[in-house]
Amino acid sequence: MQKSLLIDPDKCTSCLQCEMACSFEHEGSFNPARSRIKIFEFEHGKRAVPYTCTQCAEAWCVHACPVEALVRNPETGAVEVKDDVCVGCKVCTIACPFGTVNYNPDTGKVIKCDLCHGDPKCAEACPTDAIVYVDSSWTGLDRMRRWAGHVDTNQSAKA
Amino acid sequence: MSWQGQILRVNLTKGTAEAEPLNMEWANAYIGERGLGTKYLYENVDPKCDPMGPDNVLIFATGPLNGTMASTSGRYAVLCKSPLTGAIGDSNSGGKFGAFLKYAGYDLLLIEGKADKPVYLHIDDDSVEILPADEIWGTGVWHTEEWIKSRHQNPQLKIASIGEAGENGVLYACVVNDLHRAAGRCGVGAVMGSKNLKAVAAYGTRGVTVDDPAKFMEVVKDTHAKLAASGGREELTEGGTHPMIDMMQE
Repeated sequence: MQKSLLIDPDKCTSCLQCEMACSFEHEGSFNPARSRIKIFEFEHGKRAVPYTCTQCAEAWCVHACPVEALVRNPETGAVEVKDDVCVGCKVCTIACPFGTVNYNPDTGKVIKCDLCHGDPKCAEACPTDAIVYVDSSWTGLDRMRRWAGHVDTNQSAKA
Repeated sequence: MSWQGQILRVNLTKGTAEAEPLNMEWANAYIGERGLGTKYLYENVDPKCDPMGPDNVLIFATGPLNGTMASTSGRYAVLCKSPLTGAIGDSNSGGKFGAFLKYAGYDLLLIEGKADKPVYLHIDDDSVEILPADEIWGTGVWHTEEWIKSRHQNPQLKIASIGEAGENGVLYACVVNDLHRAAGRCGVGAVMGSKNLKAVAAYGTRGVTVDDPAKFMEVVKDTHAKLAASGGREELTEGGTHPMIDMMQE
């Protein structure tokens, strides 16, 4: 079963645990500046939204890469950067419509979410379940259930 | 320990900013941002100085866990000789400013002197600039944060600033960071205002490392679980620090 990160902004408190966990896993230091997932605040911090790569099936970044440094991991479905191949040309950062591939000037390579090879540390670190790792084919299941409750006429009649 | 090993000393009278090594003897003896900051204050300020004069120093101090995933490690302290009590003033706040000061590479920021006109400090790793703040003097902290972020085209800057209360020497004025977080005790905002310092903006890419990552994360996860299960958390979640006022006044 392929899995995806499922993000629920309503639950995010902007604590940055995900950014710290991500950078700790990939860089060995707590360093939000090098995190593959980012929290964005809106309305003066009233709302916070985590955002990262959604691992497009037809990925712009993979098509754009001139040296085939972006390779899909068949097990996780994630597009991973092969550091020994990447030449740091940054064409993928231009091609990605969502901005989730970024350049790391410290290494001269690009960085993006690789789902931590199937064990995403952001989801593990999130204290409010704003980020969870679930079956790719059923990311809408909770939302469907919520709406299903609204059309449950038997339930409405009781209320 | 996850120290960066250096502090930043800014002199607003001279317009200088210099990094110097963190005194590791003090860092080990006075553990945590409050202890370390107090030691630096004690060694850098004349106890007889006018708290609102240029001889007072204003310190932003972080602790060894700041910037890591450890619970409550976001706290940082603002210290100075308090204009309210005339004694050691130590105020602390949460949010992200303390962590980002450390990500920029500084365990502690020490501000001396007084600028001759309103200024703000912009820290981006090695780059430290003292810049004019005339355009934001007289405005609130929300506008100040927005203005600085847009001026530097960096929405990820973390900012600690004062509003009109601090500018005008209100003796209980706060230093506010990340829009909603306040170092509200001891009048640290008034001292910041007395130095004509409107804001400190920090962003850093250096990260914070720990000696034994596996062991560190084991303890962090264990502490998270214990805190989540402990009592009293709901009160703080609902009412912030207000439920603690009685305790803090003792």
